[in-house]
Amino acid sequence: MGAEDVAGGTHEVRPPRPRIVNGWAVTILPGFAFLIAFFLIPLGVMIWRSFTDPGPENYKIFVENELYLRVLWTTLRTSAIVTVVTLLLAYPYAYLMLRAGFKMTAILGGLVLLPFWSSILVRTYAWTVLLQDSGVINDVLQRLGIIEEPLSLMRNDFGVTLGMSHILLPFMVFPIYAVMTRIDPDVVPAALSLGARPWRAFVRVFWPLSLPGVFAGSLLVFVLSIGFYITPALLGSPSNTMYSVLVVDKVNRQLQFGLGSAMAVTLLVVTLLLLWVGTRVVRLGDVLGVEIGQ
Amino acid sequence: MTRDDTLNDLTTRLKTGRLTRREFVLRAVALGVSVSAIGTVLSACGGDDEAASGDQVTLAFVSWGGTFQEAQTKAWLDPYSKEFPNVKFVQDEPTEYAKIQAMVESGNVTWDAVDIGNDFGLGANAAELCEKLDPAIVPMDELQPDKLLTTGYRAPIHVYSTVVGYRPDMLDTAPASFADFFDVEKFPGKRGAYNWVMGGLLEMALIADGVALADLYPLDTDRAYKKIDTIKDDIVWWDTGAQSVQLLTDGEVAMGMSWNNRIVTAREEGAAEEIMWGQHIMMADYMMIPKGSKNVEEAMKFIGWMCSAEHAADLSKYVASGPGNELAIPKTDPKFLADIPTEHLDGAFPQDDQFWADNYEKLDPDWQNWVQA
Repeated sequence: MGAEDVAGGTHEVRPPRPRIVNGWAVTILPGFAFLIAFFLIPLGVMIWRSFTDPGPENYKIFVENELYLRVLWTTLRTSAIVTVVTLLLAYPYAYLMLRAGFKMTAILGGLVLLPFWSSILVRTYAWTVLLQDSGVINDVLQRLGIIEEPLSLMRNDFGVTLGMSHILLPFMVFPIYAVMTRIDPDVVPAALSLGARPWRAFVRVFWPLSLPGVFAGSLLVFVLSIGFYITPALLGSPSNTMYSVLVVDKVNRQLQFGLGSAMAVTLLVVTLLLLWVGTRVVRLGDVLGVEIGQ
Repeated sequence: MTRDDTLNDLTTRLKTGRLTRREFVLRAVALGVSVSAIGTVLSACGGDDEAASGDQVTLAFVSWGGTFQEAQTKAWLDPYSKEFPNVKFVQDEPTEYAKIQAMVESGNVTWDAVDIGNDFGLGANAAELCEKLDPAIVPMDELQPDKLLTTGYRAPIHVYSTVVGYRPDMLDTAPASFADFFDVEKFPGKRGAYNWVMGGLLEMALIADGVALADLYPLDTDRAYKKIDTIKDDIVWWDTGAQSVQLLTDGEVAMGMSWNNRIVTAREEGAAEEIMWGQHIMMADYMMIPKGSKNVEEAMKFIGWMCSAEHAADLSKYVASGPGNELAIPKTDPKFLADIPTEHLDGAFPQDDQFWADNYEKLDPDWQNWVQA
């Protein structure tokens, strides 16, 4: 394509061929080198170690003892629940931030972000103070006469989900909000003007356009959840034991780096598999917000 | 000049640092001095190859952090630096066994004196990961080898116990034994317990069920789990030391497992908690030198000093800690004396570290399966 097509003239005006490596592209190299050195190479070493220290029989523990698969399942289940709960809380919140005025948006964003900057351990202990049998909530409810015996608000799935969702909320709110701000503000009014009821306009127009944010936030929250360690230990019971606890014990206490690596690699593979399945279900184009196959 | 004169001259120069040990040896040999005479001079001088004694050394001391490490600094590190001004300390925390293994494996050891728990420095990994302690420098026979497993690679410096703490205001009578911990009728209320197979609960269950110390190990885990099952619904599990004390302070539990020094600290801060000293599971923290440390001799001198009869009880001024050296027990500071395990040796059940080193890998998955059920 060039000017010659349009004008039919003989001027040869060809757009300059983009050079693969021009000046700006070189700036990627340091970051790239960092990722390779501190991420890819250690990952490779870990995978290698899982098969050679002492050997591939490391992976047999999943078969020998049902503990590991069961805890893996608990971890994935807890992470999925936390992802859904966080999504249900974050989506309306992000929408509110979108529709609010400038000052309100800043305040709402700040409210979500502020706890994010304090220590996770402090926040988790704070939940303990609120939720435990002798904690604030139970104390107040008992004094008001609403309940006789303390409610079991922690050391169960409820406490774990509450604590983890609270901590991971910013990771869901901001990606969704970021995508929502890029949705053309005219599309929904346009749908309404064409006769769509508000709910239909939302489901058929707004929601699909916000999907990339939903996916990004969910991915982030899910991946962070499966690595969680302290919060489930403090707010849950031993039946909420997460996978990381077992891996850390293998590596740090039993000094079995090979076995720990095998467990970590297994978690990685299972997670990637789940994500791959997820992309089969949701149209990749919708999820990434690009045109595919054009 | 006679041979002796020149040897004296060389010795003086070695001692004042004008000669390195290597040079000294070469010149002494050239003189025709006997090997044994050279050896005598060198061992009297000490220090490492590149510097004569008196040169600056920086030791990396690693422990568990927090107030405990601060207490160790006040009790041992600062006085040692005062007595030996050429030794400076840098500190790191917390101790991580995986880091020690990684350092030794990679040949780049940056830690010199490390405070480890009773679950490290045993069996095969002792020889692989720790420097052997020289009994001439570290007084190994004084370090209560009948009660504390000093494998030759680690030296005890802090004797403490896993104890039953309780809230006197929540109970009519004070508990006197582990059996009372498992009696929820006479002593109503929840129980705090350490969610770790080696935490001491298995031992407590067996002792409460009537097993004597001599028959305690190897642990009859089936019998222990059966005993714990009788109160399992009343157990509140904890994972960190801070939690163990918080459960008692908040009144979540009427009786809870914890460590004596933790409960003492909480009591100092105003919590209404007491320790049941009738029976307790005794254990110790140990010092070790990672294999391949760059300052083995200085680190060993330091550990020998820490473990000496004169200094082993210094930590008790700041923390409820029993000395590793039995000759130092009379020197224990009276401040926390009533709450130190070495004052309650009749009720002490020392944990068998060797049993745990051999069986941990097998017993942990069983514990996990049982505790998660």
